[in-house]
Amino acid sequence: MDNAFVDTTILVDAVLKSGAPRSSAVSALGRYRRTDLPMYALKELKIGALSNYVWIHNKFASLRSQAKVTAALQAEARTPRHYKLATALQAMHDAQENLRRMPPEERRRRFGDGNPDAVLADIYRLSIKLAIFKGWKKAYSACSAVVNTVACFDQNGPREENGLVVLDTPVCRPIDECSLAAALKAKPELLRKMRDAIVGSEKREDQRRSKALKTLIKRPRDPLSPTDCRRLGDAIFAFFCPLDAAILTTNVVDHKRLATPLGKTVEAP
Amino acid sequence: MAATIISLDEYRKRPNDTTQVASGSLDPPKPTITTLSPSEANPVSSARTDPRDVYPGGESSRLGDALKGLSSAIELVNEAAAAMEEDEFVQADNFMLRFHAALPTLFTFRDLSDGFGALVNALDWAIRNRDGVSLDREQILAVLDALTNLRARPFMAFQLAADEALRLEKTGLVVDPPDLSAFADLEEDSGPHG
Repeated sequence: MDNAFVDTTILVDAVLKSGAPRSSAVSALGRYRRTDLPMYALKELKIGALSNYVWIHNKFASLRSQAKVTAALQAEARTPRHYKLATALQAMHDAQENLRRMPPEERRRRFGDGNPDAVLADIYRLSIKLAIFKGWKKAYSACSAVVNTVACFDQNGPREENGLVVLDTPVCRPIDECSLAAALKAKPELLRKMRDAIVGSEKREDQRRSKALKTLIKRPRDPLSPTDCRRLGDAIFAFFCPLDAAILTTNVVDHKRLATPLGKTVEAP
Repeated sequence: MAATIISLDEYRKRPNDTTQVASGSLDPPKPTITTLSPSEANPVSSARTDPRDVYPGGESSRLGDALKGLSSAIELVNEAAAAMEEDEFVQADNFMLRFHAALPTLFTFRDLSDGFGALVNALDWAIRNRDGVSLDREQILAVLDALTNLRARPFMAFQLAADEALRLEKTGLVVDPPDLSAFADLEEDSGPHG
């Protein structure tokens, strides 16, 4: 395919991450003649990865101590589902260990006379804050165009408030219902094909998506709520992707299940 | 003391009225104007654009120290750029190594503004993430630009610092710590929105 319909995973890799994921996403975007970013991906970025960054930033800004932040986040990371948080914490733990082992004169040279723990916290706090602000700026220019406008989506970026970073909520302000609803409800046969592909799945995400699709199919007069719009997730990409474009994603398996029944293509970076 | 009440229309008709009424009198107070000598009014030449002249505190302040640090850093990067022009790569890298070593001291002035701290921190990561590989000419010039802009605006707004960081990234520099990416992948339920 010459054209790409860009999924949130690629957007996050391209604008928030560094290293191999960013290189891979950026070079994949460069492969296509045209790259379309559905506004829904910006919404997912804002309520997902960007919100996580804001949350971590505000922990640093409130606690002003790398050790305290690490301890606070470790408490959140005790369950297996939070293993990714634990991975992130490992790097911060390593930084603290390096600091502990550093000779005093080297420590003074690097951190001055300030409390090294507070300095490390500031290094992370400022890095995360910078990643948030530049990530949001990059998001709008990462692709050839932003398409499939979601009129009810609040496009305001992050802002500063009392030393914290704030993302305005609610992220969507529909007048009667989600602005994507009419287009979705106009093609119930596509909704049904997607639901058939995931119904019975044991994944919680699929179960929620299936339920949201069922509501759209069976009760089209009910307004599509922001919660259901969010739960549709990958189905939005499969539904709106043009036939002459491929959904570009790192999550090929999940997208294929929804896109293939609609005759649409999915490609990895 | 009872206040004298007048209508707004009557008040507007009075030619020399002011908002202040003293002791029941409607006579306006005489304004006093203190005249400053030219040296008091404009202690520095307006032709100079040194930020130390714009912001209060002068040479002895923290700002002054930060600006001195920035000037030294700019000098080192300028030398690196000049060496690069002469294809003296070793010399150029040596100047950049000295510049990198000076960054922790500059970071101690991060209380001037988050923009200041973030940009200095970004420059530090930009060099650290090279893992010892020298910066090329374009990257050195981008660093020089960032420092020059920071020296002109030490209280840099955060959005401007983000723009500067994006300019550094355009040259291939990576200004984020490598381990930050993991935070982007947190499961929904591990954040506050779960």
